[in-house]
Amino acid sequence: MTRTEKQLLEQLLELQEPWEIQGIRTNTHTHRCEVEIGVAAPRSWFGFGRKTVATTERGRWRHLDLGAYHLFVHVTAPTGISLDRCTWAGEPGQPFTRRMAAQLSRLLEAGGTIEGLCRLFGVDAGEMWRLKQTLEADGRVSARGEAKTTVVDVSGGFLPAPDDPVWRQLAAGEIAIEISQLSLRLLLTRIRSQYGSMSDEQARRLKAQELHRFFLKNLRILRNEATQLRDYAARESQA
Amino acid sequence: MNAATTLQTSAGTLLDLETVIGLIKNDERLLLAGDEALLRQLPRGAWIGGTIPYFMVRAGGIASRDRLFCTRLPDMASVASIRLYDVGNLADVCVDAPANGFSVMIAPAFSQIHSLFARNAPGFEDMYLKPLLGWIAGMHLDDLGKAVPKVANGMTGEISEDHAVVLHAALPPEYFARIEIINPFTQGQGDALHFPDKGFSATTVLVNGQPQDFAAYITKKGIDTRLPLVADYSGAMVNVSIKGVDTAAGQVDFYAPVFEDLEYRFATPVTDYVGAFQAGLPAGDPAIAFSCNCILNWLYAELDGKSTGPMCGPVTFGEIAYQLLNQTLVYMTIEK
Repeated sequence: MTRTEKQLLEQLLELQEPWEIQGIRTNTHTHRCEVEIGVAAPRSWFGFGRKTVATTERGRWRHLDLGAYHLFVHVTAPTGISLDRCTWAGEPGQPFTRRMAAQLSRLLEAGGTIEGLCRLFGVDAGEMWRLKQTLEADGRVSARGEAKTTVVDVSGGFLPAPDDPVWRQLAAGEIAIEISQLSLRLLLTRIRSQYGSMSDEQARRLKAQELHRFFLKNLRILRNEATQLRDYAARESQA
Repeated sequence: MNAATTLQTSAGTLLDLETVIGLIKNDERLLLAGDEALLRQLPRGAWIGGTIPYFMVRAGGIASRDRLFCTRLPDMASVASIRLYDVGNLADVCVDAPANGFSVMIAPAFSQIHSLFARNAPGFEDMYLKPLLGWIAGMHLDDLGKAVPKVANGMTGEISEDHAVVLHAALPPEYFARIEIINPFTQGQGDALHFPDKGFSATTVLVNGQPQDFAAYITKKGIDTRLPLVADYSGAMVNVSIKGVDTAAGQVDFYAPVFEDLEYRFATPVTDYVGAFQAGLPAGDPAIAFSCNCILNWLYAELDGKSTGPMCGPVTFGEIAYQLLNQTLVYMTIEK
């Protein structure tokens, strides 16, 4: 990256001294851009060399998109340097930079759905749910009912429909099936843990849909499991 | 039977340096394990490698510093990419994987990236959707504290102690990769244990809901720390091995993280490890595309000289079957 390109990108990210871009990686396949931000090392006396300053990883956050690329900032800095006013950084443990969180918040406050925003920005439903929870606690958005979504079943009817209650029941641990695939066992354990801690209906529905998508992608190795679910759904609908 | 033929008929085998060099120059796509000094002598090519001197071969366990364990990619697989990942982009490893294929990862033991993967892999985007397996590179136990585990990117010649190396392989649509485990351990009948925090160490444990000093608990109960903690992942038994118990500091260290949302129990003792592995072998004797086992199984089961049948491969400082495992055999088959 040339000095001019670096300065331009720093300008676009609204970086100001002492912050600088120390690295950038792009993945043209996934359209992701990772930008490393740090503090420029202070010059030593008489301009000879630069002092080495111990730094720590402060965090990695999803920022506003850069053109067609999802942008992630990865910040390292000396302990004690505050990031509180840096809109290109986020709160510790949060997934979005302050700038990104502000934009998503405005859209949620304007009536945007979690599902819609996830699709638009390519963000994880769990992370959006956490943001929405924060806003609800602040009274900035109210809990809303389920949004209507159109989900297309491309399994040729072999799987229960994406909005069939069986997927939520599976995610919630309310039904048990015999599972032979390691990947499904591990995934189901993670989803059940997340589902149990979610109170937002939209987030829960997205988790159930995550299970449906997994089955759809792996249908050829999950025939036995899919059959169990289909039979269970058929019995429930007749009950 | 030459080296290439041998590789075609097994999950892999031990080969000398010259033979491996010949395979690389012949454009073979390889997964390699062996001493750092050997990996550094290999020419560039479509291979990845990691340091470790312990291996399971057909005849049994063997330690070797002068040969490399070599697994050849199946013919139908094509290399989509080989790359190093650092702590900044490791979370993309499954996103980067082909839509249909598998990815083999090797990460250096005791590194930041090893820790990051262990703690965060279950939450990586596309995790479990795309087959990911691999192992944690280590060193000879005599060199603990002296040598540093490393991984190698054969395409670029880079050797790193801070990165994970990953080979992303694509499969034709009619094939799929299946990753499975053989865990000789099951949950015992003892106390249900929960941990308040995720991590590689714990001071407090909730024993049937009651907080206790975990180090004191283990000592008081006389628990054999060769037995791992076992969590039930919807029917898959996943181990967390005990690294050390410090009763003075009141801390227990692990070889993999415990997670705060899981229930653990110490394992039921196993008297016949080899029998347990062989009982877990897949039916029908399918071709094993890759396999690895755990250094703790090597030590506790005294696998040196003992056979685990077709499950040949490096004996490692951690195994990867989507997420980090301990004291477990991991294997992959390619099916239609």
